[in-house]
Amino acid sequence: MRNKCWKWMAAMLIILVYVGRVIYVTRAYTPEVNRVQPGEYIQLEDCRVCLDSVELYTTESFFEQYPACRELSTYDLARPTMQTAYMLVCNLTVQEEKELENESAYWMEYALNLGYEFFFADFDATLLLTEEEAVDANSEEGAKPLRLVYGIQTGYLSEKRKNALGDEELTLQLQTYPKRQYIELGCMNHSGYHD
Amino acid sequence: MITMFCMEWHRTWHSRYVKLMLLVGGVFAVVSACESFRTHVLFQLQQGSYLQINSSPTTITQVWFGMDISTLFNQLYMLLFPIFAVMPYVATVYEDYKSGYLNQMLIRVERGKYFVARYLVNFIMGGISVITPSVLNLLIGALYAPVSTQIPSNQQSYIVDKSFAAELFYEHVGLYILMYLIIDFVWGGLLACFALVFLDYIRNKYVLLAIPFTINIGIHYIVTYSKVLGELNVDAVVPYSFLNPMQMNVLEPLPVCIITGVILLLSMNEFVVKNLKRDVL
Repeated sequence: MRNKCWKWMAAMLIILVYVGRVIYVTRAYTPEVNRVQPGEYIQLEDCRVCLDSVELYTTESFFEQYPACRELSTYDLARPTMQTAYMLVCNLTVQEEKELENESAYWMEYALNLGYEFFFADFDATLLLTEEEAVDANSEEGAKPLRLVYGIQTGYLSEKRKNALGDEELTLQLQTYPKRQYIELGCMNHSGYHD
Repeated sequence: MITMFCMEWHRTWHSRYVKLMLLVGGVFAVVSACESFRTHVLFQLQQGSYLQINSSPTTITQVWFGMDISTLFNQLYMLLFPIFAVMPYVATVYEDYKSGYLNQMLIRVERGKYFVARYLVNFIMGGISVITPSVLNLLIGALYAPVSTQIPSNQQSYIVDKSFAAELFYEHVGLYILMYLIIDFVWGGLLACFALVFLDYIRNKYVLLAIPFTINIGIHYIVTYSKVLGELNVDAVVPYSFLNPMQMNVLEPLPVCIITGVILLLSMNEFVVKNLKRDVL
């Protein structure tokens, strides 16, 4: 009887240690999600960014608004396998950074670091910043406006959720890099911001 | 029938075939986990980025051999799948058949119930044997990789929008894995029962055990190298392809369900119904 009790206790201990380890490993990669409203700041490792607005476009209306983007390659904008239906535009202002460089490449890199990809599993994001916009952003004094564009690839979405996208009920999570933060955004669908 | 089922169940666990297959499955799981750890985690440890929130994690689906595209263990597992299924119990059934043990039992118990009990034990043992390495590898993988959703843009899986249950994979990865474990369990049992169809026709134990393996891999290669069948996507209904959680060929639920039903009925007819009608085995 006593032996059996020890066996059960040992088994329970092993299960507890195992479950603890699994939770520890999973939590180690799960950062907090900060909800950011327009006008609020995102504190990254070496800069502070103000989120001015977030706009949601259908692919067609996006190209009407930003015709220069038509010249970019199809792969950059939308991977053909994943049905890009919506474009998300984040208008940001970089407030403080450690150093300024006059090369657009810096901004491109910066932009890539800023909004690396959507974490939300439904979406896959392709980021692009046109050359002209990068130069414009770099030429201004002080605060630097920055526009990030994401293709929201709806291949994984059910019809119900695709409709929800159109109904302006969407919240998105962005993953930043190099310091991994999850930023939750609401969307503006053409006319105004919706939480 | 429950008594007969329990008797066969306990007897099975003392079979050397079951012990052998569980051992082989365990070794397979551990070796593949070690290889996966070496491939995915070792360099992170060397760079000091392992378990650091700043680094992009290698998720459980990337290290589990069911979906790991970086090692060969996935393909090896799918290749050995029928062997894992038939080995534990079909060999025992064959030996009982030939040694006269079955005849001895049948004069003591109710015939129909006995065959149904053996059919059920065969089904369950086939399923358990098949998913043991898979589950063990998953449990080991969870020790060093987070149980979290894979990021689509990582492109570390074949699951795309047209894949079966793609939404489940990207939203609830645990449920996706569980779903495939159940599918593999059921098909492990089915392949084990499928071997029983040939019990009357084949007089060699090893040939009998090799039948599901040969048919499975044979059809797969015929389909792969046949242009016409390839264009018709017939490979999608070959167990070698559709049992793979990686979904290199998209699983087609309807044909798979039909094939499942056919094998189930065929094996039940050959093993249970036919044996019921016979006077002499």
